Amino acid sequence: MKCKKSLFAVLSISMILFLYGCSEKPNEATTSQQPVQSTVQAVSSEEDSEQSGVEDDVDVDLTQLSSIMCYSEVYTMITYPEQYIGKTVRMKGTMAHYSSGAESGQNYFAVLIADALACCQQGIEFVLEGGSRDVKDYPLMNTEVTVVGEFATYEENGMTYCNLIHARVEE
Amino acid sequence: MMALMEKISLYLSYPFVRYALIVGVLVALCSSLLGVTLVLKRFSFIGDGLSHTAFGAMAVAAVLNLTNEILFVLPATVLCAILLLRMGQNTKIKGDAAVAMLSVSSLALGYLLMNLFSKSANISGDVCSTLFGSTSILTLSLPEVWLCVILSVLVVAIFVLFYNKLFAVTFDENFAKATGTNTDAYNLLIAVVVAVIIVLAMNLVGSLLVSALIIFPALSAMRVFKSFRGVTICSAVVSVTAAFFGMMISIVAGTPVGATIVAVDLVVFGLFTVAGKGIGVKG
Repeated sequence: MKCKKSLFAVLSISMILFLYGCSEKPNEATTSQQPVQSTVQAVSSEEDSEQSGVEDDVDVDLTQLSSIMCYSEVYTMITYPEQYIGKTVRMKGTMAHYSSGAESGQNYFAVLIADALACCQQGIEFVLEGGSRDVKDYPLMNTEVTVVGEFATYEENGMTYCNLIHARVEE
Repeated sequence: MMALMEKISLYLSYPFVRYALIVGVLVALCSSLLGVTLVLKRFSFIGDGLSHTAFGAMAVAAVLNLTNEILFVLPATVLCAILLLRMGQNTKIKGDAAVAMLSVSSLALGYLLMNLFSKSANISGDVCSTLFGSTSILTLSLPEVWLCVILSVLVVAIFVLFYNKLFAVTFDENFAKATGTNTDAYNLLIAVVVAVIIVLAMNLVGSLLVSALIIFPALSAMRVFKSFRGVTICSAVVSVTAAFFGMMISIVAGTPVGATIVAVDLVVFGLFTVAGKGIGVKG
């Protein structure tokens, strides 16, 4: 019995270490894609839209979620973007502006969302309908804005980025 | 009330919320089981020390650009747990002093390394997230949930299988040794399991609040129950309930997960203290 217990202990510890070694990062491609799909369905349910007065054309309404839920959902969108491509997203957050710094001076605009501790921020870039990247066409920086747009991804310098295209700023 | 129920129902339809609840409850269960042993062995603060060690190891893994940092973090934490629990008795720096020294050293060196060498664009965010858990419990993937389920089952199985020996080693190590129990081996087993639980629990409440998951349920249970079995069962129930409600409050109200769970644990401790006094149990 003592021998069996010792063997069980050794096997358990080995298995623990082995399993930890097999742990996958959430951004790896092998992660299940089904959960994100059901998330989209949950947010876009007709019932919720009716209750909150949200228009039917919005698939993912982040304005209806608590701050911690919103942050987690944006994390999921950025981690598994393929599940959200083509969906209409509404999000509310702080307006931010970045410049590429190159001579061409490409401007990027984003809505930032802070986590519950307010130490981390995540954002999704957006481009207004018509494709303008002129600062004058966008809301002032650091103001709170609500943006609706179509979720898309694009490649730049070998990296994949997420953004909202054909976006409009809601009052 | 109906609006609140509908909100909870909507949030529960999110897979990452369900994953968080499953992992949170399992981690709470495992930590409470070992918590009773650690509190009785006067090692309440080992959770704090080891979680800071894990933080330091994470910083080293980040600096070394290790793709799977857990391969480094877990062995490092296990090693420190063994050093503290098994060899701590025979060294010049003992018990709480050793834990305190290890704790602050790991925290300081980890933060220093992250500041000096980290390539991340958001160091303060990374540090804050690791220390307080932030939303990491809400960003788990399905494989990570399965990993946690399997590890939790193993921890509970180990606890149930070795319950009598752990009981003996916890209450009177010298007597257990005299009766032929290999106390060193059981201390080693406790150290390894504690390290695994701490690395798991860091996802839930962050490294600064891990101790709360270990000590609060055990201390609450001790206010009302006096037997080892009673305290253990009550501790498990308290821990699981507090973690579940803490997470639900956090998700609905948008408050930090780790801090909310600890706040619920604190309230439960207060209630159990009053209840213990009410029924005349001496703390």
